[in-house]
Amino acid sequence: MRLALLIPLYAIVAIMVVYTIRHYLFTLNRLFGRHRQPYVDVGTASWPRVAVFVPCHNEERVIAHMLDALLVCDYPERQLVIIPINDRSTDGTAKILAEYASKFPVRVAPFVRKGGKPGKAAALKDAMAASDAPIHLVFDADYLPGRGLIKQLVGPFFDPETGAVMGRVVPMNVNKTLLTRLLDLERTGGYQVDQQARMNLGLIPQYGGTVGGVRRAALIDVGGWRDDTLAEDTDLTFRLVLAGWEVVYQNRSECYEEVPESWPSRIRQIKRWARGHNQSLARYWWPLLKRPTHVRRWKVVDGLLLLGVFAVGPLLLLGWALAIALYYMGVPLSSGVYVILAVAMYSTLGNFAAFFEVAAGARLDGSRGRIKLLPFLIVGFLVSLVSVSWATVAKIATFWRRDDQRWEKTERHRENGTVIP
Amino acid sequence: MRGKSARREVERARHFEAMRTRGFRGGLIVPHRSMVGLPWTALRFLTTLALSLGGVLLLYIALPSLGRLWQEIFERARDFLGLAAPLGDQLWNLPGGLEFTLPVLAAGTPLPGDGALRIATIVTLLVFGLTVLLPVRFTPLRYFLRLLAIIQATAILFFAFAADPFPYRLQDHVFVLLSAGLVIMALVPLVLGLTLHVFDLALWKKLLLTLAILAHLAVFIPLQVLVHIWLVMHGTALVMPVLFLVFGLLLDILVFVSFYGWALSWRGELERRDLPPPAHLAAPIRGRGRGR
Repeated sequence: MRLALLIPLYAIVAIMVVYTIRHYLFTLNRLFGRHRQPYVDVGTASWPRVAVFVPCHNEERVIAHMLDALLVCDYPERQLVIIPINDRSTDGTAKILAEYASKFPVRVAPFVRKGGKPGKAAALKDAMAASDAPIHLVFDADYLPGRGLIKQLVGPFFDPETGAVMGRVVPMNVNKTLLTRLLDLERTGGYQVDQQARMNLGLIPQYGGTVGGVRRAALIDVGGWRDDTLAEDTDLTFRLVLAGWEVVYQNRSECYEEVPESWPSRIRQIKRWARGHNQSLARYWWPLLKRPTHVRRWKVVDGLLLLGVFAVGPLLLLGWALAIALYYMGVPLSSGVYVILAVAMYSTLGNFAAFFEVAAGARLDGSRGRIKLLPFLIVGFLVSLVSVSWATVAKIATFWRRDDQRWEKTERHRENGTVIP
Repeated sequence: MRGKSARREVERARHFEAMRTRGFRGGLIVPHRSMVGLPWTALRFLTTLALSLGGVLLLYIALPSLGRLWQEIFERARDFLGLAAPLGDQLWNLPGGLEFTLPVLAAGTPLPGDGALRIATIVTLLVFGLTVLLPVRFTPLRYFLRLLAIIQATAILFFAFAADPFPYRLQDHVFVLLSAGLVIMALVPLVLGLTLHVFDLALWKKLLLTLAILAHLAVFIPLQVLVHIWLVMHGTALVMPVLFLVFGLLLDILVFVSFYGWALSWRGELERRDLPPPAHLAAPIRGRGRGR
């Protein structure tokens, strides 16, 4: 009986150690390594035609800001078309989109969905046919792209091997609540260090579904957008990698987003991510492990670890449960086991970035003050740990239900009349 | 290319390299934060190595004094907390032939009776109930209290139904926490070497932080254990699992992470002093209130 508990506990501790080493190496690489930022800041080129898709479901609070920002982007006007996807909105989104379409008839071409499956993936799948532009960029409606962002995101596509590009997400409502400050730290660790290190090392940077884009030909090559997933971004990343396309991360291409300001909103968001990401884990771990000839061995290892980030939560919770059981059985565990389980609690779950990775990212950002919040990571981690574990268990318990694709929309907090600088 | 001409070429290359970062009116053009990194120098490697090994060596030399300090803290706190138990010591054999004397309070382990179990059950249910009533903005606190309630519930179930006796005495609890605390103290200089000394902080700051964490833990750990002893003596062994699992090593690591976060918020040697913080952190967006 003891052995039956000890073996899985040590296996879990070993997994935590592997992730800790992985993130330590990423941190060292980001601090001291040579950075790969292909085709960044190209100013003059023969720019390809680009379609910018903005899925919107009841986005009246934010969509006008987004469109205003896109309309002043530094990109040849004739080569850029903005396609806001009005996905069954019931608020004032349709009216706002109609206003912009009449004002900018050539540049803004709304796509209207009145039925069909709910969710971003389904919306993108339907809207894909609306443009034959060779590059499809995707933004969430609450994002605020800077003037040079479109060129920065399109630049890497000059490399014909590039299938998808991802930019950096930067929260803009950082000073609102403790949660927004913690999410800012989480994003910093995830993008400034984790994604850039994976890019530097030639591993698998993740296409994150927004502030990024995909080559239309690559998208068609891998079968288009899938609407049977809650994480179309992770799903697409792995399909592209398995098909031999490169995914590029551009740390320089920053875009502001609005992070959840309330805990229920955050819990819904991370539960959706966990369900979608674990869905991709179930789909792609085996094809990746079989390793197509063009995928390097280290890329496979990184890909498996990347697929597993949301499985870490339930595993860690199981590790603590096993430790408690063994404690009552009087089995002496070494201090090291407890230390590793304890250290793992000072992480962020979305990318399982450990505290030193988050601190390094914030320091590189030049905003040292917020690193003092580091010990509070455990606060956000605890909530994420339980939420993600709950979502995973619920998904496993209902695995036979193929219709379990309920899309939880992330709440917007921007107030009406907010002036964006 | 040889001799003078090679030297001239190198100087020329250096000059152009310097010009690349020289801005209007001689100012320095700093790279964007997405491209900034840290230079790794032989000196930083040597200081990292020296600080890490020096920290471990310092702890090794201070072991007898640390033992005496913990003994002293136990002796004074025993009277202060009214813990009527004789104080002794226990020799702990460390790897490499080292020895460390840990203080031992020869106190019995009070086991819970029916009354204590009933009270604990009511308190646990109340705490769990409270989590339902707390507003959503206290979600992390709700989760934390639920976690405590669940672990406490396992203790209640164990003492109420388990056939085997509780496998720990209070002395075992004390020994494990003190010895694990010492292990953490020994790891501090090494972990700092891997995660903090690689940054461009001044040497004296790194040294100060190492000493500050070690000094803090040297006082914190025995006090933490004494609070545990007091709580167990008043709350019976029922509280031991929660104390061990939630308020044991997890708290020690919190101390480390807090110091670490504080230290990394200090100014680095290579940092420009006149740079404003990134725009999104400098000021909230107009039209919004301050944090709730």
